[in-house]
Amino acid sequence: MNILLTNEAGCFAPGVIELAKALSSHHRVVIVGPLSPQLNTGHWLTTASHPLRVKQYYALNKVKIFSVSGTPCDCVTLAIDKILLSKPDLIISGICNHYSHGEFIYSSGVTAAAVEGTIQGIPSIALSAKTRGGKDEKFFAKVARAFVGHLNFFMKNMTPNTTLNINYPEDFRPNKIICTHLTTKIADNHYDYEVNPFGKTYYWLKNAAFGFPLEALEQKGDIYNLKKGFITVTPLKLDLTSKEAIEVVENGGITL
Amino acid sequence: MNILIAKVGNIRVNEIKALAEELNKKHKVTICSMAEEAGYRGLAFSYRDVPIRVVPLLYKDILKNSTWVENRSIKFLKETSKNFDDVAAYEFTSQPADAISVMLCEIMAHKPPDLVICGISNGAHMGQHVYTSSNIGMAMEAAFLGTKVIAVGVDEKIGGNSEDELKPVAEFISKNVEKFVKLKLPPHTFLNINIPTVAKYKDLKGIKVARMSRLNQPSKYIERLDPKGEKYYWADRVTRTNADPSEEFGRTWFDKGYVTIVPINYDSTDYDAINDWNSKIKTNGGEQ
Repeated sequence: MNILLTNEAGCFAPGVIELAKALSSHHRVVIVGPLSPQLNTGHWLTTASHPLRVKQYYALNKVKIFSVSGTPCDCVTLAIDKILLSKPDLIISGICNHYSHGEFIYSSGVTAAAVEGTIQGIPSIALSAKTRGGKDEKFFAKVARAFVGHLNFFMKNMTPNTTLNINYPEDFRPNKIICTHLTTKIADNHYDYEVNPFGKTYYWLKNAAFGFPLEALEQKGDIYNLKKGFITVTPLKLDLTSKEAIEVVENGGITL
Repeated sequence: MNILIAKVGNIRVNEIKALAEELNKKHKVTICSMAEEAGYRGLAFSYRDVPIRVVPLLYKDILKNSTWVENRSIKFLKETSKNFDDVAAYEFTSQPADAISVMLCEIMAHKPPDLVICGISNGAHMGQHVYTSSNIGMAMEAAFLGTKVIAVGVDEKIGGNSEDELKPVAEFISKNVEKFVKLKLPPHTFLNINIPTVAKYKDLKGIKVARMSRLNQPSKYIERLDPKGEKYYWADRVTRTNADPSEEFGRTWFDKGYVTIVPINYDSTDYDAINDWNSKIKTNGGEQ
C-alpha cells in the first residue's frame, strides 16, 4: 500500500519514525509532518494568515520525509494536493505521546489529521500512546509492531466515512483490545488568574482534566478501558447530526 | 435572560454590533471577542506555553470609535448592570476555545449565561467545515461545559456583511431566543444555525431542521515563488458546493433561501459499528 504518515510532534518525532520503520518493509511510506511540534491544534487549517513552506530531508529506509510549516491537518491536505504523486491508500496519524480520547479528540491534532484524511476520502487511522517518558523510542517501536500486526484486520473492517481512533496504554498487551465509544463528560476547567508586571490580566489553564479518578466516570467508554489497560479502538463517523434532536427542534416552535 | 455573545473576530465588527443591539433590547448581554482573526482553528487550545490574555472593556467605549480604549478591571465589569451603556466586553488573545472556556469557567462562573450565541460567523458552517470552523469550535467547547449554545453563520462575504444585511439575522435570533433556551435537547447536543443573507426579513423563505450536509471539499493550494525562487503554498479559497442535493441535507435548503438548523452531537462514535467490531475482536472482559 501507499501510506501517508503524519504526526503532531513533528516529522522527526520518535512516534512517527518508529511507525515508518515498522511499516516500510511491506509498504511504500512517506512522512509529511509539521516542522515544529503542534500540540492541541485540533482541526486548525492554515488559511489567510500565512503561506506554507515545504522542506524535504534525507530518506530513512527509503521513507521520504517532508516537513510543512503548519498544523497536522495542513500536512494532510497539502500532501494530497501538492506533495504526493498519487492519492495514498491509507493515512496514519501518529504515534503521539498522549492519549486522544473522549471529547479531547477535537483538540488533538493527531485525531483531527486523521479525520481530515477521511474528509478527503481516504481511509484514516489516528494512533495515540502514552508513556511516562524516558524510553520513548523503545516504547513507540513496541506500539508500532503491535499496530502493524493488527493492520490487516483494521483495514478489512473499516467502513467508508469512518475514522479509526486508537489508543495504547503504557502497559498494553497486543491481544487485550476493545472497540468502545468516546467517554463524553461534562468538563470543568480551572484557570489561574494573574496580573502581569504591566497591569494586564491573563489566565493559565490549570487542570488538563485528564487526571480524574476511575470511579468518577459515569459512563465507561475509552477513558475507562484505557485505565484498565485495554487498547481502545473507536470508530468515528463524519456525520455529527443528532437524529433524535431533529424532532425536538421541529416541535420547538421556532418561527420566522 | 443572561446572554453571552461569542465571536471569533474583532470587537469592532458589524456582526457583534447587529446582534448586541438587537438582543440588548430585552436581555442582559455580555460579549466575548478575539483580538485577532482566528478562523479555521476548530477546537485548538493553548496549553502550557502561552497564557490566555484578556482585556476587559465597556462596549460603549468601543462604539465611540476612539482609538484609545480604557482597560477596566474584571471586578468592575462584573458589578455593572442592565442598560446598554454597561455591556461588558472581553477581548481575548488566545485560541477561540480558550476564550469561551475562560468566560464560562471563570469570568461568568458566578452568573452563568442562559444561552451562549456563537457568531455571527462570516461564513456558513456546513458539512465537513463544521470540523474546521472556529465558531463551531467555540460552540462545542461551551457544550462540553454543559451550557446551552447555538452557533450562527451567514453567507461568507470578503470584508464582512453590512449592518443592514445582518439585521434580518439578528431579528430572527432575537425573536427565538427564549425558544432556543427551552428546547429539551438530548445530551452532548447543540444547534448549528445557518442563515442566508437577504435584503429584508420577509425574504427569508422558511426554517428547515435538517441533517449535516455533504459538501465537495477539495483542498487546493496555490504554488508561488518568492524573490529567492523558493516555493511556497497558499491555501486556496474553495467554494464548497453541495455534493448531495437531496432534501434531508441542510445545504440544499440553505441554497433555496431557508434558515437551516442542524442539531449536532459531539459524540461522534459510530455506535452501530461497535458490536460488529467487538464480535470480531476476541475481547478479554472489557466493559462498554
